[in-house]
Amino acid sequence: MVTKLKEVDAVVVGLGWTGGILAKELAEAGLKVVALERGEMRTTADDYAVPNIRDELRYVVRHDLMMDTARDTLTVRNNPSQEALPMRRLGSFLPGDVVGGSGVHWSGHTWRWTDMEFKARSMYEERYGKAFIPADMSIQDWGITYAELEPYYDRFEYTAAISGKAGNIGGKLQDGGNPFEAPRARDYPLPPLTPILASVMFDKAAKNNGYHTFPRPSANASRAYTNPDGAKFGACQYCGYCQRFGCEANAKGSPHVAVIPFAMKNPNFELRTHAWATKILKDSIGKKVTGVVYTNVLTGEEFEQPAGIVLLCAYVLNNVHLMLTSGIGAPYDPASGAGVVGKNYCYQTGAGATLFFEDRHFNPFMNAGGSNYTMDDFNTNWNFDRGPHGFIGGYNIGGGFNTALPIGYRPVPQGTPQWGRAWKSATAKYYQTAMNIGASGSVMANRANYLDLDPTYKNAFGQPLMRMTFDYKDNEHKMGRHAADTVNAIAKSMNPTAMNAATARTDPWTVVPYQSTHNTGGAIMGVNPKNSALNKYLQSWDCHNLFVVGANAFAHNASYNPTGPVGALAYWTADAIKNRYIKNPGPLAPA
Amino acid sequence: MSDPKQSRPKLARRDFLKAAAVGGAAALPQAAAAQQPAAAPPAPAGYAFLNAQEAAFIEALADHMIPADALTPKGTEIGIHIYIDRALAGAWGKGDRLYMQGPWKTGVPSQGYQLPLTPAQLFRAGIDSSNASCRKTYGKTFDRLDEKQREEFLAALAAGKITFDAGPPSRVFWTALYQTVMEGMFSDPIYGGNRNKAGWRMIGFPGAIAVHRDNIEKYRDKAFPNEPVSISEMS
Amino acid sequence: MMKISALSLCLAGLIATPALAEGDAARGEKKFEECAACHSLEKDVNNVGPSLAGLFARKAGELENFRYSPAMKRSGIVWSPQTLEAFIAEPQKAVPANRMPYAGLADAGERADISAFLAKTGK
Repeated sequence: MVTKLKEVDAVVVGLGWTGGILAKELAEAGLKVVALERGEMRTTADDYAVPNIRDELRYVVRHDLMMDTARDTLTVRNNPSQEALPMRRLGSFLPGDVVGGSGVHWSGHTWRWTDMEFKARSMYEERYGKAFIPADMSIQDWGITYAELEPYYDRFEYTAAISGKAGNIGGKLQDGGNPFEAPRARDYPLPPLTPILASVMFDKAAKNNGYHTFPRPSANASRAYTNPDGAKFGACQYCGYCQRFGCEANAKGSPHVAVIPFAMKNPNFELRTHAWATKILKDSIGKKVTGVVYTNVLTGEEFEQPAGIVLLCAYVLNNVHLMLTSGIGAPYDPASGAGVVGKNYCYQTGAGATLFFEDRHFNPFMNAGGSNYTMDDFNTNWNFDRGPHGFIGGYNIGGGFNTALPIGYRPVPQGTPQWGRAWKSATAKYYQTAMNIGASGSVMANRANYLDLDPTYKNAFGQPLMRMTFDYKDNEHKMGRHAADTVNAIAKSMNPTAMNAATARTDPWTVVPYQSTHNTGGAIMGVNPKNSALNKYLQSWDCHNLFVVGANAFAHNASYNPTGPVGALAYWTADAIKNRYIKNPGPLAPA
Repeated sequence: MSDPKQSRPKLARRDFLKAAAVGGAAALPQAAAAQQPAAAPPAPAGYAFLNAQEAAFIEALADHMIPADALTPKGTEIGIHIYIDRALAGAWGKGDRLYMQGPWKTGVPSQGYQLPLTPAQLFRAGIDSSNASCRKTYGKTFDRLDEKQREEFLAALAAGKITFDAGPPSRVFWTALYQTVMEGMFSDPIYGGNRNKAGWRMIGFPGAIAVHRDNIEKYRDKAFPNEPVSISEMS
Repeated sequence: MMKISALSLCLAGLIATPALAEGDAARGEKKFEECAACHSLEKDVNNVGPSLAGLFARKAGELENFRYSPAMKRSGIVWSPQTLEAFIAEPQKAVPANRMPYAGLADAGERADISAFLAKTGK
């Protein structure tokens, strides 16, 4: 039996970055907002405080803040000819499962994606001709421009306490910043983090090789900060327990620090934790949604929460899953290319080298989430001619550490025994004397990479699991070789005592080990309802009172971490709802 | 052989730590240094999951993989066997966060773990199969092998050269087994392993103390004073 | 009568705090931003750290509603401008294994400013 509750103006499914931003903004605009969060409330004082937070086994290995795959997971395969099997435990990516979502355990890398992504198809076609884009590469323009999003990037950077150095303010290049970034109205709210030794060494080597390094912009407050809404951040302590952990010093830009407390203070807002959304309801003609059905996982009771507006703000994969299980939008069919929901699922790729320096001492356990110098010479640099290399997209390269904790990080030169006295002495020696240089690469959309519902496996609510069909294509392999060559050339120029060289991956994508929680696509934005699920305001083409906010809207994946545009798009959508939709409910963009 | 703890340099920081633990007027550096206990021999621990045969296997494995030397005491003195036993007896061992619905199919390696076994069941079957394999090759179980035979067997297991008759895939067992040995060596001592923070001391990892804002510059290219602190010491 | 434990005496000596500078409460208020993400100045409002209202009238680890680290509770510190400034210079050195995630404030003048600010507002 489903208990029907009183209607509210808006219901938010998932209270992480996008849900937190929208809940706060819409409650402040006077809407009655209810947020449904399947996880539990966790706070800095009770859950992220020292010493219990400093537990690598609990948080990194056993995934204490992550989704529980015993209850819900997805099935995976590399191509449609394989039978998909369940991802039985987490590995390759780690969606969050508490109030704050993945924004609690992220490292904080915050980038501005540019028109090179938003206008990918038109820019590559214009420069290289239509034939340069492979026939099965389903990239398309996003329908939004960098100029439109710039004020919202700014808003997110100032909300989330980003430390960094501008490279381009209003068209004027700035010393020490990224010369390849798009023009910004002003600098970051906080100066860059103190660079660690490994990062300094990488910086010097990359510059000697003619590249343009800059401090990675990151939501680790380089000093104490109060954001425009009044949220207070402590200064980052470089504790080395950033990625996979909540921050004990309130120094990480996380939704439970930056935005959610302001929603919680607002009488227009109500949070229901342990509330697992199972279905979005539609009206009889399917032109509007009417609310959300959810289960209270503490009691098993089912509720219907009617709402004027539904905002899907869960993780990428869960947003798409809810669209599919609720029958909203036509499911994508890879054979015909028709349909939109599940289309253009993308991931990322990479290549990394480990360098050993017998005369150096890195103290790898001292770092911030973003304490790496980075270079974009083969990424947002449009002057880099991809023509001779035959690939689309790019990669950024960074040098340093992130979460160099000892269960997971024990670098030794290739060929070192795996146990015994020789293993012990090598592990003891190289823990302190090794560093990394890594490339993170884009993945272009492909016709054969998509999400749909699995025909066999079910979750704890009896619903079909989502099925992920994904593999790297020739484009990524070509880029991977280029990235590995660049990484190795920089690494060799540093004259390490020994080196585990970067290799381009040639094997299929696998669910283990961890790669990145940067899944994108599946309910993408665009200009045409025939090839996108959402318009440029992340509004469903099918049901105008449904907004699907997150990296699900990305038409392909760049080399950058996704949270910058995710946060900016949340503010962009909030403004569109507040300024236009509430006054005149209906489609915000012409079909 | 000398006590590895005594072979490491004494640091002022350590003395303060002891001072804080003792407190009051006794908290003088000299007094604290005099109170340095030698590593107490571990009390017999008892097992919550492993049976006698399994315990013998894990103990032999821990001592073979982590032999005593100047860096650390041997694996069982660090508590690696206890870590593994408790992990298998607890929620992780019983399949916490593991999707355990069929149908069960082998799939391809890129699809990850697909066995219908919890970690505890996998270890039980894997140890049994390993001992069966050892009996076949050497006429006795793993714990009775000499050091050279143990090395030979583990090298073959790690290289995927051992096939278990009617057991789980040997590589899947080895991957899980190896990971738990590393966890027992490097996780916080609250889980039963890394006793006396031996794993952390070995590599110079300071544990739960991690306020490094000023240390980035202060210890740039220099060793950080290594007296690791565990969760229980701050609790 | 002020009682200072052997530990805090010993530490104050080692940290080599010069004769206390006269702090400036206005500058201290600005510097207090470094503390404000975790410490409230309102009575009984504990956050990641304990409330600092009425700090200079109490002993370390004294508030009933806050769960202190054992190290802090047994530190024997009685809060005064002197002991506070010695502590925040490098908290892990002053009270090892305390739980405050703060590396410290190297500038003695800034420490005095914070003391002055807390003396003024933290009553």
